[in-house]
Amino acid sequence: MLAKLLKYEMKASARTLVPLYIGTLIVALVCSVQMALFIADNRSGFAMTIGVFQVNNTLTGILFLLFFGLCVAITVLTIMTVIQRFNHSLIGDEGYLMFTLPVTHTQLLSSKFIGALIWSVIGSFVMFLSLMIISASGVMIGADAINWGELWNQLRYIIRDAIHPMLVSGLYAFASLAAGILLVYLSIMIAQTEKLNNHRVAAAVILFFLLNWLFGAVESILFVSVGNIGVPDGFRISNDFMWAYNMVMGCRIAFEAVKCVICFMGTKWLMQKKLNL
Amino acid sequence: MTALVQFENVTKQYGDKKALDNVSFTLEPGKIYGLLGPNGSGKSTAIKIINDLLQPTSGTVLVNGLKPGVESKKIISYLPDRNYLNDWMKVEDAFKLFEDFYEDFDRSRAEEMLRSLNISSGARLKTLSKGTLEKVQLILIMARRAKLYVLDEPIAGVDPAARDYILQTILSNYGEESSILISTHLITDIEKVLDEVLFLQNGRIVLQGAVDDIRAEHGKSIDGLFREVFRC
Repeated sequence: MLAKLLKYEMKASARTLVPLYIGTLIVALVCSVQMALFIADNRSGFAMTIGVFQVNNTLTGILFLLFFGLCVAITVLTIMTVIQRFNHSLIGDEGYLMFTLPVTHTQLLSSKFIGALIWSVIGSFVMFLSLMIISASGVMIGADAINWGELWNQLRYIIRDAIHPMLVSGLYAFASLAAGILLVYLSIMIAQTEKLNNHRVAAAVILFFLLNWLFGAVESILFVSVGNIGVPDGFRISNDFMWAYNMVMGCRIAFEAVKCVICFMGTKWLMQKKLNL
Repeated sequence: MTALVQFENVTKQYGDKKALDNVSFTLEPGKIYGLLGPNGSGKSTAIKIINDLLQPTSGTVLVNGLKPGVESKKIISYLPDRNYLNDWMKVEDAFKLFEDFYEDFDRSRAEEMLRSLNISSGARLKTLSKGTLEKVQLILIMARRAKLYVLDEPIAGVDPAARDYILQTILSNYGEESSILISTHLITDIEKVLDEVLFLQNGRIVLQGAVDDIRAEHGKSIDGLFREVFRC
């Protein structure tokens, strides 16, 4: 049943997000071609013709502005879609259908959550891919001037040194994203309860910031405690950066995971006991 | 035989207000029940509790012997008094959704009803009129081979000509073991199909019984009695 719920969840969001993602990739491609032409003109000396230089400059500027606008749109629209899908399909009229389907509340909530995570990851990937497409033009045009062997060597060193912190940071970003989504859900669910129902939107926004601040405060207190109690004396002397990095990030990821569990269980409990359609 | 629905001393309170006040009733299989009462009498609250959309403040609710939950949702076909379908869907998407989630959904029966009402399966829900949308929802609900059909104002949004067809659809699509609970204000139209009625007022049941008995006892139609009991 979870797979079926997820299928409908993805279909419903795809209508808004897929065209936006395709649009961003197309604009990135156009930017890339325009940039390649710009670089080629500069190298051939053709750009010295003032008119061509100005047109190229303006066009490239507009395209980049458009591209960054689309990146902002991806971020904002993905967040809005995540919120809207939860709000409309569970708390709005569609909730009368969703909550009378023969599925558990865990399955309902999981489908929304997994769907939101998938779209967030796809959105991030589309932005990354777009940047790669734009960068590709410069690399292709200047390919003959690049020492590929040297570049590969440099990349190998970067990957070797950075892969661990990159993976840990990526994991932390993912855990934060998951906790953020679930915190939004929890805020919306608290806001639809009987006492706050008349001011749902305002209450949800205030609750989100309040809960976020509360979790932040708890995290700070815990971190101070860990810093005072958990760090062995040897560390302060040895100054092992990676050890400290792993420990801090490990704690932060664990904290985000705990946040996820609290928000998920809280939202599920409210769905079961305090649903107020 | 296990009752399809059993309410025992059920109370639902919103702050100081009691939407349902110590309500008890039983719905048996094979009957059509009318849940009648003015606005704010507690009809929707009772229906939501049966469908696990609300939790009672106190009392016991059993559906087919079990607390409302996944199992009860498999046997209840519920039509709310609003559009609950996502408007990006086509009619056939809605059919597919019901087919995916309800094992008892009879696709051929749904398509037959759709043809009778001249509605295209390729029509987008957001292009349909309110009345047609209500018909589509009713088709989805009645095409299930459920044990209990809970219909909240099923004929309120459709024209009088379509009402007879809809009532006929309801009557011809429920089996002997099934029951129907209809909540409505349009009593004249549905009186002829009801076996039993429950009159709700201020969250309490003020009258309950077989339609024929009530008519004989009060010497009035159910509609006439409703107007008398709930006179403003």
